[in-house]
Amino acid sequence: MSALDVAAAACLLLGSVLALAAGVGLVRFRTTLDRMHAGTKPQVLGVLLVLLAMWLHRPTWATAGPLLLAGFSQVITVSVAAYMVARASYARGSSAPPDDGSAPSDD
Amino acid sequence: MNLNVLAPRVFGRRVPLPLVAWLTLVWTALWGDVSAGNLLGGLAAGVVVTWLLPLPAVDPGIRVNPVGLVRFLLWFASETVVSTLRVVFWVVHPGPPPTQLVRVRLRTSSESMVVLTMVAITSVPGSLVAELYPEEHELAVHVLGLPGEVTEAVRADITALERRIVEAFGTRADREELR
Repeated sequence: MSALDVAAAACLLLGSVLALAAGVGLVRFRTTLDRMHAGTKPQVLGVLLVLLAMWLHRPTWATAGPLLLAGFSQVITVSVAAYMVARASYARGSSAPPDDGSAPSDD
Repeated sequence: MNLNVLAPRVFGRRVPLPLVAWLTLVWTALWGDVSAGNLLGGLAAGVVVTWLLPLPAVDPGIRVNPVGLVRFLLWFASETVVSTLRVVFWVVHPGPPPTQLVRVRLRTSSESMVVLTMVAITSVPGSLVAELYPEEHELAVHVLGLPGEVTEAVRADITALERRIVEAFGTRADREELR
């Protein structure tokens, strides 16, 4: 196993951990806006790390192009999608946590 | 700039050359190989796509400044890592995370700069744009994981981010505005 393989494995593992954290956050956080943080954010770095791992596995220009495009599109589209959901949730006033501690009814 | 040079007419429709160049770049990147065939194929695909699906020829008002761009990307990378750790910390921390809604006034009047600032705020973990108030030039930003009274700190952060964005992508007029 070369140093590149080790680096690729580390990036892949770290990316997966962040994806897991995003999933746990979605379950644990209580309001839609809080969940947006968990669902969109560790996700971005996680995906970028997985893409980096893929490039480290085959470090050529031919693989760098599509991976760069995928990463760029991820960052741009995630923020637009997050804004749309956040805006809808904010407009509906569901950002306040439920008083009785029950699960929010809007999901 | 001259519209006829940047977007010449092809069969009665304007074909914006910067867009064709970008599509060619994407095409070549997807094929993963810079060859004459790929470049010509990308050029042909770009022209066909922009001719079939015309977009209004507008100036997006973005001027990329290489030094500002590199600075912005470095800041963005470090900020993403730090804030991701912060959000992950609150994911595993027992109890609900501290959250706050902060109204922030933006100084720039350029729509492109506002959009880029919003994309950057939302891409960085722990902060989220919940609403834009165009008349007041204000954003409602939702922040997660910063305990205590953070309104002023968040406002300062976003003002600094706006300055970075304008220095990386702004026109000269945008930059003058922030002086």
